[in-house]
Amino acid sequence: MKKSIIFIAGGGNEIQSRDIDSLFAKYIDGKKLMYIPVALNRDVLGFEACYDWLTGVLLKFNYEIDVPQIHMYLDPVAINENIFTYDAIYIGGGNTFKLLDFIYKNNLFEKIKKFSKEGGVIYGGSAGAIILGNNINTVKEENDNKYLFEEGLNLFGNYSIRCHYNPDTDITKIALFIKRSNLPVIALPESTGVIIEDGRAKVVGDEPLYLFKDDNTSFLIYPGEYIN
Amino acid sequence: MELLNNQKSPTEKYKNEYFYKQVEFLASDLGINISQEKPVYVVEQQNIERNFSFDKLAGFFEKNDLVISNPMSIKLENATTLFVSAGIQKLESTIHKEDIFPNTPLLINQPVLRSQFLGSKEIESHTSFHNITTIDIDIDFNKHLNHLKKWIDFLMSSGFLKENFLLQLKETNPKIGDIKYNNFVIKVFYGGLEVGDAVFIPEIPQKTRPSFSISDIGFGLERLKHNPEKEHSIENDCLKTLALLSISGVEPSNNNHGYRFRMFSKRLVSECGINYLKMSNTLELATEMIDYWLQSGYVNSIQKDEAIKSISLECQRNFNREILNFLKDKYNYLNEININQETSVFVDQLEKIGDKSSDFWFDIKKQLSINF
Repeated sequence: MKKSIIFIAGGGNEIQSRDIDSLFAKYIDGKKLMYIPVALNRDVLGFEACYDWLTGVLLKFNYEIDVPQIHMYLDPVAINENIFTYDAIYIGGGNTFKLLDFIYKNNLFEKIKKFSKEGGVIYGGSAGAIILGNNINTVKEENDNKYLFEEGLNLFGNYSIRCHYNPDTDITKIALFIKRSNLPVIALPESTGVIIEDGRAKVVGDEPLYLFKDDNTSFLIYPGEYIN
Repeated sequence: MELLNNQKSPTEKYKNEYFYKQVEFLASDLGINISQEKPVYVVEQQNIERNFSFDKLAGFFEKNDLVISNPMSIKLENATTLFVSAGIQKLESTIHKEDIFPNTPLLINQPVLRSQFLGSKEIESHTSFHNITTIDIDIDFNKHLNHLKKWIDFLMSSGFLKENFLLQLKETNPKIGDIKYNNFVIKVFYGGLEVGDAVFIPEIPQKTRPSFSISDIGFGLERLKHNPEKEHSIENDCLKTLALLSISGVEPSNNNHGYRFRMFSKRLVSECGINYLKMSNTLELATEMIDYWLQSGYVNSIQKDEAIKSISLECQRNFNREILNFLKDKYNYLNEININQETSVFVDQLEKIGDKSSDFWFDIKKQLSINF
């Protein structure tokens, strides 16, 4: 049986995410990848540009077997129908609440969890990463449209996730979230990522990530180290 | 009738009630409905005979002082997208490089490519089609609606029935590149099938000159001619797109424009059920598909026979890959034979170093329908 692998990227640009992207590339060599960019506000041209962007990022790597088949999906019905015909899904960034709302309202919540459980590879970048955590109120300030859903897919232990983390400006937001939710948080700077495989989470990238167990206990975990 | 005061910005002016009220006036005038409910696709309404052609439309709009513009090559360089995805990209350099305005209003029959349908199984989702677009610049909303009215008047005169039309309204605030703007969108459905849309952008921000408005009304030729009884297949749709890419001078590769070529070829091979005979039969339509684009006035960058050869070789390459994948899954066959060659040569090489068991060859020669 295939094993579940999850890639969580801190939300940086293609240079900042190169380490985690290159590892992801190994898993999609010759495979089929479903790209879901629906967290963004784009029109037809904008989404075409998204597709150009992702293929540009992922095709910079060498593929031994063959280039991955990257297909972009915007239609929730088509995602529902076709998700299990793909080896991996890439959930891109944008507004985290809009993305989670899309997932709940189109009955994709359990489907994505099942996809992961059955060995599908998931890559989440920025908003796409945050929804893989326990609760998305780590970025409460993004809820600009009174979105109701806040419980994420909870595929990363019990951690909630914050991306684009800047310790100088974001620490009070994390503290407030922990105080309200009593949930541990993983905060990723833009050039940091995590790979969860065989039940172990390894930090990759240029900078350490910040692990907040509770409002009194936090750790720095460096690239190459595992999260206990 | 002006409902809001003129002190507001162009975008603010159209927000709130104004956009909706003005479209209601138009719909009432035309005798067609507006609904925010998801339209229901009605086959019977698609089957009603229609008499639509681009040439007639061009004649009609020429009489209304629109300039007929030649289609652009779909292959773009240094633009916001790698390929033309909408007729409005005629304004690409006007919007993003702040070049001079083209002569407007204009009409263009622009071949476009939509990557969002690359994985789609919806038969109505064409990955490439003719986006017939009227474009106008620096006009007000009423003139934009007047263009839309002309469109619908023309369609009705071509046999489209007013009771089958439905308009749906939407405001969006997309972003492309560095530019954020507001869209006031009127989607046009016929018999439940979206056939086009009319987009009004009150303000396209500019760095070195005042912002301007855009009227972008685009209809899909293939949707307007949609006939459920003569529907195309997904493999034929992929071939149609490969034909467009190929005559545009795109060559298959592992990145940029060429990657898209490779993806459509892989999809075609997959949709043919990894069956060589079916793939070959599909590829026999390549000339017809190329002619389909050329007949609408699109200019080819390379010769037809060269384009056909390029499509055929790429499909054989991707077929070879599928054979290896199939053999790996079924027989744990791990030899990597060069896939970048004709399938006949590939199979010869496979025979020289392959498994000699009868099942193995049965699968290759019979199940995959290879018969040279």
